Amino acid sequence: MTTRPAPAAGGTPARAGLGFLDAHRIVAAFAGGPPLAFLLATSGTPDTLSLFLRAAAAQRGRSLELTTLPFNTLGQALLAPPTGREVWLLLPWDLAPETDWRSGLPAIDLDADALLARADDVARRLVARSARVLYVPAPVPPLFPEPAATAALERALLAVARSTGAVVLDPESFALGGYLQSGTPIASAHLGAVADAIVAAAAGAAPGDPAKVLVTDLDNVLWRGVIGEDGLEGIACAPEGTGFPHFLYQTLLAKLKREGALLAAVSRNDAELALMPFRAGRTHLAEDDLVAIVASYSAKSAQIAELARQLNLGLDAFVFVDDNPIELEEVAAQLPAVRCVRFPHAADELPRVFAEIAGCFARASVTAEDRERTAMYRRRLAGMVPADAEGADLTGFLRGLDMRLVLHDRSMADRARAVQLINKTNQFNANGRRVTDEEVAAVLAAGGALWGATLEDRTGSHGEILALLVDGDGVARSMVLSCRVFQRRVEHAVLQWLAERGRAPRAFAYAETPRNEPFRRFVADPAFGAAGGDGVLAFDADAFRHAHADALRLFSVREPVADPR
Amino acid sequence: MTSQQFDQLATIFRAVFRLPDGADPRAAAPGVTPTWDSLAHVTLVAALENEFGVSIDPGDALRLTSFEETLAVLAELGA
Repeated sequence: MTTRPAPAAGGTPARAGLGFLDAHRIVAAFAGGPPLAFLLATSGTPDTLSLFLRAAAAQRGRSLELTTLPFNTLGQALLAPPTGREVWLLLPWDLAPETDWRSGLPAIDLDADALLARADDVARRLVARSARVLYVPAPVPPLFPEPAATAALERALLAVARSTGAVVLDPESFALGGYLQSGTPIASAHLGAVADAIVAAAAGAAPGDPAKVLVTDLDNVLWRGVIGEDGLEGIACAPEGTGFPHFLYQTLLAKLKREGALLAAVSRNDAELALMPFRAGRTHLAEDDLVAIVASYSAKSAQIAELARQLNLGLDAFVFVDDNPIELEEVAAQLPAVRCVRFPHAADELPRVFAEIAGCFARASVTAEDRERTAMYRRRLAGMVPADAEGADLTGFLRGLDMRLVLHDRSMADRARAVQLINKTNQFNANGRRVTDEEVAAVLAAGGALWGATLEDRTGSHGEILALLVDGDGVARSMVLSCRVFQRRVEHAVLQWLAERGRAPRAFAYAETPRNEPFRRFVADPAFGAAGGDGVLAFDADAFRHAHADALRLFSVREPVADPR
Repeated sequence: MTSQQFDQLATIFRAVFRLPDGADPRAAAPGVTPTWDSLAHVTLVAALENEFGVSIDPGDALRLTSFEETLAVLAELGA
């Protein structure tokens, strides 16, 4: 899907970023959001990027309002006053016109020093206008008798670009053929990745204004695993095995803290669980390396906004790191000034992500006050930060996920995974009760039903993520949902689907457990009645259907292929 | 070309040339479809290369003058 390589033919480069049809689907499904207005300044023709830019903005919950320059007017634009938020997508010849392939090789000998002096002048003008700069380090023509001199010029131009705070893109982003043929310098296979970098630059803070606070997720970011599901023994962040990337991430955070950054954590968890790995000595970072550890089931945007208020810092000083695209999207939509960075699933992506994070906090020097900043702010805060506000409406983003839900009637066979899910899920769990396969078989033999659901979206397959065991009297004895797919409204869609077919439970066997706060929030819905003495909550399926009619429309649902009942 | 690729190409034509709902992409052509200008043609080439993982040289790009011709070029390129 979105990041898989396109099928290569005849040595065609693999695709980077969104494909054209994925971008089209995202834009078509996007319901709209706050505007993201900026000037894209580039000397080439930007039209081929247009759809991909709108998709990248939509993925961040933003409606693109793009201004571009007429072809080949970059130099004039540099001399004009800034127009507001600007992203400059530069190639070597935008710094040194003598290197432009479209001009042919110059007939006179070039003075490299004079050429670089002019490039420096361009860079100074870009810095003066607080431009966000992206640089494609395309090869330049052989301008000098010595090949090494041309290579040295390429390196020097790259250094000039870096002096503007430029984000350096993949050299493969440039395609000479398209540039010569139609003035479009960006390789077709890289349109998605380049557009994403442009929109990320536009949505972030201006260069030269380093971030002050790094807010990190905990599960599968600060450590491998989900503390609420896997327990202390099931998480990993040691310098070995699956925990290695997370150990390295913690050492990066420790370095940033030494250099004056404030660290904070937000987690959809209970406070006691969130703190457990720190207090058990399982983490490289100590609890007091962080100014706050916010553990709450509220929207993360609300948690971060509350933290900003308490620290008395602007939201543009914040960087948020999470592995879950839904959480990132929610924060980006609600708090557009916050820079959002996705923690990678593949270790190979760590260098790029670490560079992006470190770049947000880049500063020329570190003072003694920088080193004391965490202690100073910790004194200001009082431990846990409560935050119960509502988060962003993610409907538009969820539609763009192209979610495909497959419902399975596990009543007759193939129920092992559903039973396993019931027995390993702690958070979205109706009552925490574990069941044996024999007990499930007995419920089914007495007229009950066992439902499962698998989910795929444009990011890939999430596997079997829901199990619902309903007894012969219509009481849901178990309902669990994997924490991997929280916030996608899967639970609403499944109950909606069952309700439409008259198969929804009439009640739920509910019990509060130390870890099932997410389920407690779910049954706070008015469709659930008060618990009787036996802990059974009545469920009004019709009321639920009417209240959540939109949930099912977020998914394309494949019904059970063969319903054996 | 499979029926899936046929549908994909139809979607690309509708998106690139901003065809109205219900319009038949097989009827689109330069000089007939007002939105089929030089910039849209460049966008079509980029969209095809991006989606089908092919490289379209200038000669083939000039042959993209209809839905059917585009199908033929893609087939020749092994898409």
